[in-house]
Amino acid sequence: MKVALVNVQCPFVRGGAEILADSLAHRIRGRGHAVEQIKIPFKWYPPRSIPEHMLACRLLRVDAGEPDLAIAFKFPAYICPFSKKRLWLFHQFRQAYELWGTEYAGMQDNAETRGIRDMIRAADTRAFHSAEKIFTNSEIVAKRLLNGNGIEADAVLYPPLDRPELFGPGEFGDYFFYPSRIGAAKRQLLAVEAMAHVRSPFRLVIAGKPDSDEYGRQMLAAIERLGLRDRVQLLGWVTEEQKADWMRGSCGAIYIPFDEDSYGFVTLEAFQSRKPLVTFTDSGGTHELVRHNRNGLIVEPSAAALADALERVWADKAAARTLGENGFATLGELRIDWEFILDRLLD
Amino acid sequence: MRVLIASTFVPFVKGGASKIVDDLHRELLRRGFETDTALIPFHSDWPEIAAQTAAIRLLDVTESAGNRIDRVIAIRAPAYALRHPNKVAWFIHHYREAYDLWNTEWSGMPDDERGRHHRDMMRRSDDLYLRECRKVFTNSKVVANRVLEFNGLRPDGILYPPLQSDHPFRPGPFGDYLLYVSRLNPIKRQALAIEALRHTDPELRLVIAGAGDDPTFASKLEARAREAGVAERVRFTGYITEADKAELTAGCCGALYLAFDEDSYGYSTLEAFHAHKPVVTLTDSGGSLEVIRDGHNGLICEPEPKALAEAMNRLWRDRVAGQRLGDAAHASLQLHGIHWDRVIEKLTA
Repeated sequence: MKVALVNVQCPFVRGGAEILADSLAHRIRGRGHAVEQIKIPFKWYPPRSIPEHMLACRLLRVDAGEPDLAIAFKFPAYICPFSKKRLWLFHQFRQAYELWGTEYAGMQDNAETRGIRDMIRAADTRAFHSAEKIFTNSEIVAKRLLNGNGIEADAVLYPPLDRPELFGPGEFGDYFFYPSRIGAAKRQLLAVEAMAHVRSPFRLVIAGKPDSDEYGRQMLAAIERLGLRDRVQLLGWVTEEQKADWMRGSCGAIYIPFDEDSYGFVTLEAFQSRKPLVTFTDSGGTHELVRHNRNGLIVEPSAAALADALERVWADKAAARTLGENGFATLGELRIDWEFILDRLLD
Repeated sequence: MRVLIASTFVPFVKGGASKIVDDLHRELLRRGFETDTALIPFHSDWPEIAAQTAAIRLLDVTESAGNRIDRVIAIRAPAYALRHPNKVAWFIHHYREAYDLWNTEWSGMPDDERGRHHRDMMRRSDDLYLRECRKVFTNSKVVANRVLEFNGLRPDGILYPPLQSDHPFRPGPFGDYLLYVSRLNPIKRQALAIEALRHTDPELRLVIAGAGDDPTFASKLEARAREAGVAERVRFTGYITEADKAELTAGCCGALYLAFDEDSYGYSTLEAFHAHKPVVTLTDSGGSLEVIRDGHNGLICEPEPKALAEAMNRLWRDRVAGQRLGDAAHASLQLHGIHWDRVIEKLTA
């Protein structure tokens, strides 16, 4: 069987969705199928750029090369016309849904942008109806699909780690670890600011590549301004092996995005390494896995609250160890495994 | 400098364009350029071209997540339709059915109102979008001439696609066989080489390396060799690895490139040059004639078995002369600037 994986591309940026698509491609090939990844460049600003890219996706041919099946992940790639299309929906274009009207919408509320918003919703609903099957990567996305487009997902397929075996338990060292793409949506800046409130001698280690040079500069400026040069370490991009080593030696992991759909690979990496995860009440998808005081801490989204949470984990290593072990147990309780996912996607 | 290599591709089909993209990507990274690729899926049937060209035009690759993309290098048509103030084209070929193949048996486009309309849309959009490029380079003189003839645009130079820097090709002793590395395909004319063997010295052997798009074609060629009574002197390797290809190239007394009217000289010609081996090609082979000069770095003969046999015999009988041709072939690489330093310098200038 020939399987096309259809995704959007933001050149020079590689995040969870790209890693997951690579991982899926590798595993589908492992079942003896041919796989081709199709990535369509997407730029969502200024707002009028969005309908242009939507139209491009309607005009481009993901059926070129005659695939037997296409699996699409993201807006606007999934609106491409193809009769044998399935969706593993990572998220809708959230700026047109629950982020609309918030500071994260990335567009002013005016006649033009309302038109664009409605166009997105209409195109989505049509694309969702035309898909053979729709899976989501989380309960939250399934719920939004129902609320926003009136469509019920066939199932939730929780994305596993590409190589879970890399991650394992280790000593609880003197730092907290935040590995992720770096950008406003992930709020690393807030983690840096939290360190200004911390009294104990632990450090913050941040791994990842900034989405924009601007955000990278802001982080460096904050570190300077707050005098945190010795307390905050920026690793930049690291390999999976390096990331696993840093996670293994950490006292706990941080993942504090704003209202993410998914729990994020960081959560799986932390739990696989038996580390507690600190997240925010408004982080979204992490709540599907993280339970406050059971396998991590969920606190108010502020630098001070984050600092308190880190101090708590730091102060009682035995408790931290228990949280981490419970995190590992959580992975077993949910069915987060590739075989299950391939069966559903390819069936 | 952030460089985006843009191309179209047909999913599930491995083509020459994807090799150029991969090689260029690797060589740019090796030289410290921040590099990524944008590969747009492309349906090659003529009625589908115009809408897809419009789609490519709609994509905005001037920036990525707030970061400027400094340069776009467009490879396969019509990737140069992308909007970017600083794009260059490394143009590898037109949609030939609407150009030089128009109104020949090779074109599937009908010469009627609709066909002509689509042909003109393609030609005009190429006219327009190629002119937006800061520079247009082609991969051969043949293609450069076509751009001039059909689009009225004089390309800024020819950049022959080199082998990747860490290729395994090396010289070696001249053995008792000629080597033809290519896809098995009627247009590559492997059958002509088999026919020629009937007329060569009986010690001389032929190795045909490569797999076919059509799996039955290999057995047809084998049958042909049996009919010609030369089966025991022809070896078909089928698909081979780069390492095996390098070994076979190192040991041959010459290479063959017999394609009919190709735009490019074929990677096997370059591989032979890197291995200091002369290449035999035909007067109607096309691109190979841009780099092979008869009696200087290879042999050029008429496309018929006896003439080819004579050329093969020459290389086999006088291997000292063959070695001289092979050394000149290697020197041709510099002469034509077939190396990545030059290609990258031109594409990023």
